[in-house]
Amino acid sequence: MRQRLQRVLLWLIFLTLLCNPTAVAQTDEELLREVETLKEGQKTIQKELEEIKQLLGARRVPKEIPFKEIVIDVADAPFKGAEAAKHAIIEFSDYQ
Amino acid sequence: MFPQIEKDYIQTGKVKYFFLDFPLESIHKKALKAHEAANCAGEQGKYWEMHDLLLANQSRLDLDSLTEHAAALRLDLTAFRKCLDSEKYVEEIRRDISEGKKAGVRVTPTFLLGFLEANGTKIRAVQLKRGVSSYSHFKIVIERLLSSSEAR
Repeated sequence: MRQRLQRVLLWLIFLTLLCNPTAVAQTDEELLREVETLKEGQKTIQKELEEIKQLLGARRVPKEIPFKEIVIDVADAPFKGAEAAKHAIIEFSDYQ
Repeated sequence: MFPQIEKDYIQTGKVKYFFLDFPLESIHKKALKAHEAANCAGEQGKYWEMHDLLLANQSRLDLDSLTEHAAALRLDLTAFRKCLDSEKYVEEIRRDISEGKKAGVRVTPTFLLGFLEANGTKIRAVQLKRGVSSYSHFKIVIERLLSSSEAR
């Protein structure tokens, strides 16, 4: 009885092994195709990411407007900050 | 000016900040009077307070509103109105406008960045920045100024 059970089990295992390679082969082919598709997709995404990065990079560093040095008289202008500062910002604005 | 810029650069003494009047008169007829009002408040030591009120109430620049602002700041209203009526600051405002135009200012706000010269009475501007932008953007522009050499 036990021997028979063992034999059945062995057969089952054998059959499973026999069946599987074909099943695996089929799946493999499908998988390979799927992997290829995924790879393609990934490439596109990477390319798009690169483009986005470049755009963001360009934005991150503000473009310097070509500007010819000029001396501005601020003798009467109201100011904030330390008298002794070496650098200055002038805001030209209105109360529209 | 951004509060954060003021905190990081102006209050720390790294950068001195100047405000020059640039009313776009043709578009905003009341703008000139508002700039006079700020200067008149300045006579009573409340320039920046009036400046902030005007910026916070840009739709209210008529004479009555200006007087209300002055009252809110507890200014001497008689002196304030007398100052406004005298138009004594108009010439100074026009000088600011012409300084701006000379530097290529066309829109508001426009920022010039540079170095103080002649005992702080003049600024040698080396960079121009148009319009409002994010804090991080402005920070880069300022850092670029701070790291640039003062020597010509």
